[in-house]
Amino acid sequence: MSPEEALAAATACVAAHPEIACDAAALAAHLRQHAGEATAADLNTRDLHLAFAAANGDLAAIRSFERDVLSAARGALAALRVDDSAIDEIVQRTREKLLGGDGAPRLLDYRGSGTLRAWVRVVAIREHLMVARIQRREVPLGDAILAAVPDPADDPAMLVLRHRYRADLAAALTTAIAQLTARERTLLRYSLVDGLDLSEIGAIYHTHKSTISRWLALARTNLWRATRDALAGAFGGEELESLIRAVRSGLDLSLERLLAST
Amino acid sequence: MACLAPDTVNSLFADGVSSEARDRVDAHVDECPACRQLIVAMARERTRDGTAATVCSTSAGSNEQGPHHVVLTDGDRVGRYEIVRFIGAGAMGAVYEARDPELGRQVALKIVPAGDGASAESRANRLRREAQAMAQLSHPNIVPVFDAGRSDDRLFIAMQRIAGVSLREHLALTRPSRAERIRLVREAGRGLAAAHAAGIVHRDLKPDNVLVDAQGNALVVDFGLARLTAEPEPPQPASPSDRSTDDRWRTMEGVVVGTPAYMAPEVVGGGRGDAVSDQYSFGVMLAEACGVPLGDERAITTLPRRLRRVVRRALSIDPRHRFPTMDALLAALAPPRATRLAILGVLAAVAAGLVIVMWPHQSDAVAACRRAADQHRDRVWSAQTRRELATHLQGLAAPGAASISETVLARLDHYATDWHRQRVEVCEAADVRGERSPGMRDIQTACLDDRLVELDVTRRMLQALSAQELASAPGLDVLGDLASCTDVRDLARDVPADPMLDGVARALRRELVEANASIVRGRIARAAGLPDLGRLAALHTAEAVRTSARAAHLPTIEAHALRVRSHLLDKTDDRRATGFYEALAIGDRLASHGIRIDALIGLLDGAVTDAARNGEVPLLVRLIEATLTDLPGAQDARRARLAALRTDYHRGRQELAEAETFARDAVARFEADRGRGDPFALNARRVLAALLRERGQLEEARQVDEELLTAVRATYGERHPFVVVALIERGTSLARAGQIAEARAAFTQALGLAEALHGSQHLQVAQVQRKLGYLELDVDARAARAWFARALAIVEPRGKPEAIAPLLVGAGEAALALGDAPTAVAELERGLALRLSPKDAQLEPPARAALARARELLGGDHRPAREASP
Repeated sequence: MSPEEALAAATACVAAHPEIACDAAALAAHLRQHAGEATAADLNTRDLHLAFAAANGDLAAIRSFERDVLSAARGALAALRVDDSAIDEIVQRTREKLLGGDGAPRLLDYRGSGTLRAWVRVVAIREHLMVARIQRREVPLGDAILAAVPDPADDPAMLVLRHRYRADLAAALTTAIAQLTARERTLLRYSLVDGLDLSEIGAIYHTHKSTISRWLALARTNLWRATRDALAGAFGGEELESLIRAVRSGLDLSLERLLAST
Repeated sequence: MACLAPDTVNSLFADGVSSEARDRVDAHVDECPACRQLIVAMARERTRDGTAATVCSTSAGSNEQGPHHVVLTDGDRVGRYEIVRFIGAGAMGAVYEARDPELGRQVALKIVPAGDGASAESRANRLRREAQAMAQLSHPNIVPVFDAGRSDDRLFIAMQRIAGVSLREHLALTRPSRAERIRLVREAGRGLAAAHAAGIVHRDLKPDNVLVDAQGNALVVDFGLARLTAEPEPPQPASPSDRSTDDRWRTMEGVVVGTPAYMAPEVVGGGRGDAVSDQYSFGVMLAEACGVPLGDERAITTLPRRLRRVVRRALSIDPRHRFPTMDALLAALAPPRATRLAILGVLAAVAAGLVIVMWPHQSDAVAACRRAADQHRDRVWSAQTRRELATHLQGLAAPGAASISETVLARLDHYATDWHRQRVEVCEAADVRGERSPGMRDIQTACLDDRLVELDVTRRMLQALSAQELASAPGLDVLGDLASCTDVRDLARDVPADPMLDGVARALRRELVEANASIVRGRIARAAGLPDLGRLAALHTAEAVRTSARAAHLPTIEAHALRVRSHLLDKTDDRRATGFYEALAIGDRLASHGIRIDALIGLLDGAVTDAARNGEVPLLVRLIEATLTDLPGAQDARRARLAALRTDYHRGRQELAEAETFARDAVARFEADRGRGDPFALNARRVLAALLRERGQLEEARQVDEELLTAVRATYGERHPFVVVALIERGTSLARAGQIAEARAAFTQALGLAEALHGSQHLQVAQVQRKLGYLELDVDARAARAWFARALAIVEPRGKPEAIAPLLVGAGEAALALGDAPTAVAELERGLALRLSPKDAQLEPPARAALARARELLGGDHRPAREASP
């Protein structure tokens, strides 16, 4: 973005919102800093203006930020079933972070490629997760896979087998998981660790859920092939093979349920 | 690897992201659970607000709609029920007439789509649970539920078949009188009240969910069903003037259950909905049944007074302003004739000597007052929240955590008890004894509810306290003055002229409490050596509240915001005094003593600190004292502040006798207000001891310091930074009295404790070392030099000139005493160049004398490289 273009865009913003006190030259510099190759038309200059003015402590801008932007974050948190009192806390933390406590206001990091509301929503949700994670431990994928398979209550022999080879199985799973692609691991985590359904995963990849279902099936197949390889290298044996089969069918079943329900 | 930028995360959900970019994100997410969880949360949020659902269904085609759209026909079975015929369809699903072959009866079968995902099972379970609860409930105004369950992809509810129409249709078709309309709505209200008593909430009350049978009975149907479907109904057609409901609908982001026009604001905002939000829906329904167009709040004024009052209260934006229960609402709605009859009945009973008849009524009201107070308190301070806080505080690995948490909990308990007592008293005065108008009761109750917010904020703040913070700054809270809620005159000014602004006022007041909490949080953080994020946040909030309050003509809140803002501004900032003057002007205009006095105290603070404004002090003091006598109660908190400021003023002017009087007053007031162990009370005691030393009353100073130590130990235990402070105090008084050995013992003890608490590199350690250095200066210069050197090693890297200067000066004097003139000159010059802070001013003359002597020793021809600044 040329300095002239930036100044023109900044002047237009400032003129369009006389209630916000903002220095057009400073805003132009800010626009240029974030624009890179982009032109003013590519950027959300109105939101950049608001973010810039709010970060610099303009009260009209901060009010507008509170009213139009933070309130959206509030709604997003409510949609995630966050407690009312916790929402207040998270919004406060987000506010402090964005408007700047002692460091530079993070609002200045907003680059104007999406709307400010969407951007702030992400910051607020991240903040929420940071608060929530104090209580929540990340479950390793291997554990989640094993947990997804119910103990075969009706088959005592299998129960004993599972118990005896638990460590081997876990080790093999870990090895196998490491051999998957990053996307396969991520897909399995989305479904098994995070409990997302196919539509939700589909939203992340902007893809229809039937595609996701195929990807997951492929990931599963690759996972079991690699698990069997890992175990075969170490043990072999018929007992172990039947154990893998049992665990695999258990997991397939629980994944199947997930796929079928959507 | 840096975490994903917000824009990157947002872009995932949009079109046009390259597959390389998605691979990069997957690679990052593979290693970063934090970013994955962020994406997961975004995915949940988006699919719930429908954005992603659109993405999927556009490419999926109509067969994705699900089995609930397949119309069932005669003979189809759902669970054990045989479909007889289709009755109708609603937002929730379809209703069929069905036969229960087991019991041989006809039922109405409501079919709800089971929905997607793993949640279907849990929804089925919830439905079953709710149906079980409903099945327990038998009330003439509730449609009986027999059974519920899941069959294939359908959830079903079997209930009694009612031959009738919805209340909406009934009103439209029969156009009954207003009395009849109210009767029907009241009947529905009774059903609702019975369900609430059983712990069941409706969540979607509206005229469509009330059936009127052939006998003219109103029956409520579909309790709790709203929660089972993720599909919100389209907004009700609303009149063009209905802007507020319309806006609410549009700003909704998440899953919204219920029907917007009937939904309580807290539910629209994403809350779960409870009995009190049902009451709001009931209020909308009542108003609508009485001819008020949906959302037209102005039309409410056309209702008769009693009805209007009930509707207004049920429609309070703030749930706490509504009736405590549906029963209370129905009682208020009861036709006046009934009340009169009841009074006549009581009179007759009295005449007949049956006074006892009256008791049940009165004790009902008493119990209701208690219950309401219990409920409100328990939302903030219940046995459970208390236990959680106790567990948190006691579990912190901080010195004295156990005893501090005891003190803190005791203060909160005390506050909660006082609050409860006042809340019951206010309620009983109005509802039982009839001494106060309901309007006054509401005003006082609102004030008390604000105080409860302070308790809530305090609790949440303490619940988030870290060990480091607890150790540095205990006992801080944002609890207000409960007595302020007894000043009826002042409170009456707080009421906005426009009742619609009630919610705004409440929100702004809450913001201010939050601002205060930010300040306290910041102060705690600072004391713990962490960055203070709170001050700026509070400043922003106060400014925003002030502007909003001014725009909404809420002068008391504006004044309060001005005061909060001014206190946050630097004492040299002109806006500080201006803010207080503006608040004072508001207080004058409203003739509010509370506002005036707080503004005046703020001004006094500035006048005491700023030598140029010292002249204003006597006038301000006189104004404050005159105003204080007009306020009820002891006003200990304000009088304590006043006494502390007057102490500073007279001490600054070397009027030590007066200063001592006020210092003693401040100690007594702070202790009366907040207890002996409170940091403010302890600090007041320290100031008193210092004053006594300045006056040469060393024995008394020692005594005050011993009391200080006792109070600190009693409150915070043996191992706490405050004990270090108290021991330093003790040593200082002993040293002044010439009891060097005893002073040394006190300081050494303080040093040992400080090192044990914070490690050897903490500023508090350096503080004790400095004390030891000055103590040894006249006794053992070598030891003194060593102490100063150790303290400097701690303080110098942190670069605070006012902390380094006295240590350099001390070290220089020690060097001089040891005959090391070059070092002495160098260190004294450096120390004096850094400038001593005003509170170390007494060190300057001896330092200058020492410097002169050291230069003499070096020889008359020595000229310092640079003259130390005077």
